[in-house]
Amino acid sequence: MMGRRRGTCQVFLGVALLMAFGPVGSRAVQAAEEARVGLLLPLSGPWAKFGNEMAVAMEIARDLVKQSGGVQGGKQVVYVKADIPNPTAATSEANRLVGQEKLQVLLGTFAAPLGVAVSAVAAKEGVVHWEAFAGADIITKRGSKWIFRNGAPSSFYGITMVDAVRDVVAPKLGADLKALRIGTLWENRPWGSGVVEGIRARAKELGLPLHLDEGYDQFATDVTPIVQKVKDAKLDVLLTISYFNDAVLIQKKARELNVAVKALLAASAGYALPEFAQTMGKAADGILLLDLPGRVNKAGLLPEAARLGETFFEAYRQRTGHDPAGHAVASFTTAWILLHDVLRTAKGLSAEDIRQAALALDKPSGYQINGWGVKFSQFDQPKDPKDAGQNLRTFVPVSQWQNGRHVALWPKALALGEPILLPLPPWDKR
Amino acid sequence: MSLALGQLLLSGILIGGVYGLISVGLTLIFGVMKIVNFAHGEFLMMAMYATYWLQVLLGWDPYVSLALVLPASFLFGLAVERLVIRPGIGKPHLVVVFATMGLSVLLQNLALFLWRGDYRPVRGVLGETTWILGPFRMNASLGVAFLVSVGVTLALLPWLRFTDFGKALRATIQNRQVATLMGINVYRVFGRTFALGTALVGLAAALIAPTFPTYPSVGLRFVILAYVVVVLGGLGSVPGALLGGICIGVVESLTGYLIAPTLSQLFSFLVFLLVLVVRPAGLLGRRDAVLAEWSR
Repeated sequence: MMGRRRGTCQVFLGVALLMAFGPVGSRAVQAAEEARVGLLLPLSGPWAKFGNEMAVAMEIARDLVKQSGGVQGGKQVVYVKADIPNPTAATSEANRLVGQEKLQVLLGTFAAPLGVAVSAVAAKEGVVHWEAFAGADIITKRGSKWIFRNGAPSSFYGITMVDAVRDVVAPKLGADLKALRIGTLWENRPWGSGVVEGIRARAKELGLPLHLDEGYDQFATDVTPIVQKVKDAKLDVLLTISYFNDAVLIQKKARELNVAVKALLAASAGYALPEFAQTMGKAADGILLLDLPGRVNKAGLLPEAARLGETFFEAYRQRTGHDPAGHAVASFTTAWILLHDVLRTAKGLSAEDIRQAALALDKPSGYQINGWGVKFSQFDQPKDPKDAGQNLRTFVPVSQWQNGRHVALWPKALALGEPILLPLPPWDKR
Repeated sequence: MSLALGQLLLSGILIGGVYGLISVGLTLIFGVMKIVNFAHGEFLMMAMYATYWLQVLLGWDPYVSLALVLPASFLFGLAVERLVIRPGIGKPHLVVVFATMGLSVLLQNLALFLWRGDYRPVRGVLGETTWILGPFRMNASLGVAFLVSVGVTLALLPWLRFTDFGKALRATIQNRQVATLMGINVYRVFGRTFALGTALVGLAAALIAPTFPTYPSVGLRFVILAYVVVVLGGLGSVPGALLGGICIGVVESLTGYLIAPTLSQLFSFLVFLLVLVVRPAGLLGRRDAVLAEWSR
C-alpha cells in the first residue's frame, strides 16, 4: 500500500517537475529561433468581424516575411495571440503578454478604446505598442516613447471630412461652401467623439457653423430620434461617424422617414464595409467615404509596394474568398512594416532596439501598399510637443460607393475615378 | 413639432412591440421556472442565423422560414431544458445562472467559429416598404412584427386561461409545490414552457431578421432590454411583456429626441426603477404569487 502511494507520489512529482521546467526549457530553445510578437485583436464580441479579418491580414504579412527568410538573420516570427473583445480584456491581456510571456512588442488593435487600453499598458511597462489604426488621439499623445501608430488619429478624419466638403462636395454641387447647411452625427464612443473634435476644429477654422452636432449610442435599436433630428435640421451635407449596425439602421430609417441630404460623408467603419452595400443595394451609391485606403491607383505607389500589394490582395482573397477592406489592408501593411522594416533590421529584439529601428525609418509616400509613407513623430511637433510615434506620412483618402464598389477619389495621385451622384438622388430614385 | 412627436411615438410603439415579442418567451420561462436564461439572446441569434441560411440556401423568405424555424426552436428549447437546465433545478440559483451563461458563451463562439463575425443581411418580401398613415410613416417589416407581437399576446391569453396546459402553467407560476400536490407534473410544465419560450424567440428572430443584420453577438443588443421589459411588465405576465416593451420603446424614442439620443437608455432604466419603487411586482405582475415564490 505504502509502495503504491510512493509510486503515485513520484509520478505526480515527475509531472509537476515536467510542468514546471519542461516548457521553460523548450521555450528557451524556441526563443532563440523565434521573434515573438504579441497580437492583440478583438477575435470575439461585437468587433469580431474586424478583428478576425485583421488577423488574417497580419498572418499573411508574417508568412510573407517567413518566406523571405524571417527576421534578425533567420528567426521566424511567432504571434502570441490574445483576444481583446473589450477594453478590460485589452488591459489584462496586454499585462499578461508583457508580464508572463515577456514580450517586447504588442501589435494590434482595431478600435479606439482597445488601442487606448493597450497603449496605457505599453507606456507603463516600457514595451513597444505597434498600433495599426485605432484612432483615439491620446494614443500617441501620452508623452510615451514606446507607442507607434501607422494610421491617422481620429481627429485627422474629421479635419479631412470638412476639407472634402470644401474640395470635393461644394465644387461638384456648384454651391458656395458657406451657404451649405452642414451637420454631424457621431457615435459617442472614443472613435466618434475623436473624429467630431476634428470636424469642429476644422469647421471653426473655416468659419462654417454646424447646424447639427449630435452624438448617439451605436448600440441603439431605435434610431428614429436621431434621424428626426437630421430632418429637423434641414441639412445639405451630413458628416457621420458610425459602425455597421447603426449605419444600416440610420440609412433605413432615413429612407422610411424620407430624410434626404445632398451629400453624405461617412468616416470609416460601418459605411465602408462591403456588407453595407450588400444590405443597402443601390442606395449605397454616392455615399462618400473617409476610410483607411483599400485598393489605390498603383501609379501612385513605389513599384515594390505595388507588387507587394498584388501579392497580398491575392493571398487575402484565397484565404477569405473576398477582397480586403481598408482595415485589412492597413493591418497587413502595419504588420509588414513592423516585421519587414523594423524587426528585420533592428539591432536586437529589445523594446529599445525596436524603437530605434522604427525611428530610423524615413520612407516616402507610396512606400506602403495603401499609399502611406513612414516617418514617425518623436516629441518634435511644434504644434503638439507631446506627440510621439504618430506616422506623419499617413493620410485619409476620400472614396465613394459607385456601383457597389469603393472608388478612390482623393488624393488625386491615387484616384481611380470622379465623384458621381452629387447631389444624392431622392430616396424613391435610389 | 407635434408631427415629429407623433412619428416618434409611433416608432417607439413599433420597436416596443418587437421588444415585447423578444421578451414574452423570457417572461414565461422566468415566471414559471424562476430561472434567468442568460442564453435567451443567443437563442434569438441562432434563430436569426437559421432564417438567414434558409434564405441563402433555399431562397426562403423569412416569413416562409418560420415553418421550419418555429418547430426547430421548440425542439432546441426542449433539448436545452433537458440537458442544461433540468440538472440545475432545485439547486442554488447560481447553478442555472452559470449554466445558461456558459451556454450563451458557447453559442456565441460557436456562431463565430462557424460563420465568422460577418454581418449577414436578410431580405424580406416587404423589402424596404414603408407604410404611410396620413402624415406618419412606418417600416412595414416592423409593422408586421408589431402586429404579430400583439396577436401572440392576444392568442396566449385565452390559451393560458382555458387549456389544461395553460392552467397547469399558471398554477406552477403561482405556487410550484401546491401545483405538484394537485397532481401537476411540474417538470413537464418546465420542459414545455422552456420550449415554448424558445419558439417565441425564434418567431421574433424571423420577424426582425429583415430589419437588423445577423451576427454572433446580435442577441446582446436586445437581451438586456428584454430583462428590463420582463421585470417591468411583471415576471410571468404575457401582456406585461408587451406593455413593458412598448413602455421602454416609447420612453427611448421620446427622450432620445427631446433630451439627448445618448441618454435614452438612461431614461429607460430610470422609468424601470421608478416602476419598481411604486409597483415592485412590475406593471402587470401579481405581487402575492410571484414574489412569494421568488423569495422562497
